[in-house]
Amino acid sequence: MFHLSEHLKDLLISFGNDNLPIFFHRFFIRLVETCYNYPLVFLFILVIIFLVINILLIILTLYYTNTRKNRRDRYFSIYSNHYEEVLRKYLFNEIDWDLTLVKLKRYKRPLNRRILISVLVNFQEILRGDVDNAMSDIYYRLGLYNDSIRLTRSSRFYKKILGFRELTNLYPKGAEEFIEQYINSPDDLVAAEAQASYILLHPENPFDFLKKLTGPFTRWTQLTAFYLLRKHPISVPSFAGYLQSENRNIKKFSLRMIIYFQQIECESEILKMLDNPDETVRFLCIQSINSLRLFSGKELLKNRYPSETLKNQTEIVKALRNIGENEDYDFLENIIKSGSITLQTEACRALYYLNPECLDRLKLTDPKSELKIKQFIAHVTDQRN
Amino acid sequence: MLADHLRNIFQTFFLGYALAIFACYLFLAMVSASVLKRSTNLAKISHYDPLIASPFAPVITVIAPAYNEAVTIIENIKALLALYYPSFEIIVVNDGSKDNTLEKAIDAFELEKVPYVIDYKLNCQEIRGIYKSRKKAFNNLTIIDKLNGGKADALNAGLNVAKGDYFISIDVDSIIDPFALQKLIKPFLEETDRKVIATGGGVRIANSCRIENGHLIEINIPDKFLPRCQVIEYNRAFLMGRLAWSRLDGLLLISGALGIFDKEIAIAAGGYLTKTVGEDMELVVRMRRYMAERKIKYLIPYVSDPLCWTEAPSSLKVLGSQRNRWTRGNIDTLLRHRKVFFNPKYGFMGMVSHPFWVFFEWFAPIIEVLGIIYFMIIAILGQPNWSFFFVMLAFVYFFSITFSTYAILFDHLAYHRYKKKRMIIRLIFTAWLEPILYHPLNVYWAIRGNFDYFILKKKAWGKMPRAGFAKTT
Repeated sequence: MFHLSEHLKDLLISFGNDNLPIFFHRFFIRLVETCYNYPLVFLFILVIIFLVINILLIILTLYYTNTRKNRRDRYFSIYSNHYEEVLRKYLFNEIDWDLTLVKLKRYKRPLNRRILISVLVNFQEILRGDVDNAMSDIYYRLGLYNDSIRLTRSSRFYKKILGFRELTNLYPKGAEEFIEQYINSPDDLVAAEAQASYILLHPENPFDFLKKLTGPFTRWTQLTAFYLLRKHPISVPSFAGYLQSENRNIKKFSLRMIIYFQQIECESEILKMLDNPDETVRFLCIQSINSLRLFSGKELLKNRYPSETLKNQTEIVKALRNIGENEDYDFLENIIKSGSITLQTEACRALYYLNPECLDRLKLTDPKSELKIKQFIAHVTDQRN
Repeated sequence: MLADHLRNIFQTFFLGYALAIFACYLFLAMVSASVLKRSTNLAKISHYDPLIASPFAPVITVIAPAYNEAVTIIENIKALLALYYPSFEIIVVNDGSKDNTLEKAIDAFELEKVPYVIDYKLNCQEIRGIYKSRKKAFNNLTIIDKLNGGKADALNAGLNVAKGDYFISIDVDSIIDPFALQKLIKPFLEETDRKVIATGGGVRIANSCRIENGHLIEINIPDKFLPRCQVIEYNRAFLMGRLAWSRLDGLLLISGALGIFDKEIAIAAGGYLTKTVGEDMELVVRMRRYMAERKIKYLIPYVSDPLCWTEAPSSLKVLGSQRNRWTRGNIDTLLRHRKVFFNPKYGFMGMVSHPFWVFFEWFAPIIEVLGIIYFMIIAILGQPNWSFFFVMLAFVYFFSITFSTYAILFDHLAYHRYKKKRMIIRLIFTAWLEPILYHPLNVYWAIRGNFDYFILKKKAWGKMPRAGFAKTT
């Protein structure tokens, strides 16, 4: 081994002597000797060679991927437009199915199939009426569902999600079989998509999955659920039952839905939520009482007021503007005298708009105290504030 | 004998330090690569319609401090009004401008002073008036006119008036992506067991890009060398640094040009500190401390998408002033929060992030200069090992350009913004020159920053004049 390395050293030196400029010989010989005396230097030289190769490879990758991406973008754009045009003609009976098949050039290629599916999903999203089922029909006839099913089996989360989405929109029967098993997927994103698919696939009982949910029901998924509820013909259930859930996110979602769909029949369940340990649940509960004008909750709110957070106190005062009466004047006046500026402003707003009697009393408060009631009134009467 | 011993100690220290810093950056780059891959794949399937169409979208307040921005204020406000989000308000804080910034805005948006009771939750300079528009089309625009108090003070004034649950602090002269709000708010809506307290967004360089009416129309590589170096620098910082820190739960800095915060937590933590020039980093560290000290689980994610385009300094003087301020801001924040240093109570921030910033952000230029001085002494004494020196120099150089080339690759694979080959070649060429021409300047400005902070006790921002985008198109 020693002889071999010595031989290599001699080879390097003789290579330097033969090939390098004379002024460089001395430095080169010292470098070779240093490498042999100090293995660290040798190691660094190896790393440098590795880095240089690395840089060259990155530059090649940059060159190659740039060309590929540009070509792919162009290809995608050309075929998207082409497929849209052909499908549009087919949907408006300008061409028949056989001619459509001929015109859907290269649709058997994997990339073209992906382009075609994306066009179909887009059409499904924007077109309504008689052509509603036509997209599913084309998707089925061309066997594109096989591509989507293949995606759902992928280990990559985004492919799985794409597969769910395509099947749910264009071939619900294909999705129904397995979507439930992903509702509690350890991957939050996959689980969220499965939950959205479940809502679309079960229009009669869209939120039954919430009873089995073990993972989070994030606010983003809640927004998606609400979006689907508004966009598709899905029956809106009574959310009172879901308020019993142990999952606080389900409680929050249910309260938001109760407010939006004005489910006044949930009154007793809503009032129970006022004691919930979660601040946001209580906040939404106060909002529900306000929005649904649940006068039965007024005293409960006033009793809770001292122990609430500032945010919830503000919400209680806002609620009193709508469900308050003359008897609440003193309560609100006390807030004006002792609360924070935000609370004072809201209390003033509540009294101002409660009824004319309260307004008169409010105006009379000014001379009696150091409070600048006029400023508060000016603030709350400007609708822009 | 003693001299040899000392020499060994110094050499081992400098070598060990260099290897440690390279190892850290390599590790961060690897973590970033995996995060970037996931977020790029996520972008393929993300759609924001459920948020855009929802009455339940959280209200966001955009706070834009403005000081002597008369030339661009109207275009900038118009660009902000065009942000694509269902419920947001814009608060422009006229921080005692000496030009006619306020008057121009009043005329353009038909503003008038409104009666307003201000809840001063945070201290700030006197607010002279609140202006709102007579036109309904601008009902989400508020202008605060206040006495001059600096950027942090202006942001605090904005927070006192903000109605949203979340607020975004921006530089009024930056170009914000129209979809920035929806992308930035998403992590807050995806939170599970940990409260999201802030989110950072990617900032990129807008020099030489085509900008019309406050909107980015065409992306170009800066023509000048200095801004081009900053393109690479920003790519490295945002795509190979902050992304990793965010994944590791150690992000300490959200750029002042674009960041979104939970308003309640920011106010509870005390708002922006007016006595520092690094108010953006200081607020993040303080908010983190606030959460850690109350044992509340929290998270600071980072959105790598380029959501904000800013004008990079193209003159040495302005760039030097900016870097000097950044250095002073870093030092100030690190010293103010020295309690965090290697304190297990603060988790990853205490044990890793803060020490990393001390050792490898603050100390790095100082140790680099000490290394150069040491080598010069050795060279004068005639004892250097030239082979070792040149090999080390080559190693540092090639490591640096490998790192920069990867930054270009990351940006290219994730966003493919520079579509022409010519652009990529120019960037690579810049990456080769940057360690020789640009890095020494950065080291000099950092040393000046240390000097100004400790010796001159300089606390001012320094001037940051901008050419304006109109001139860069």
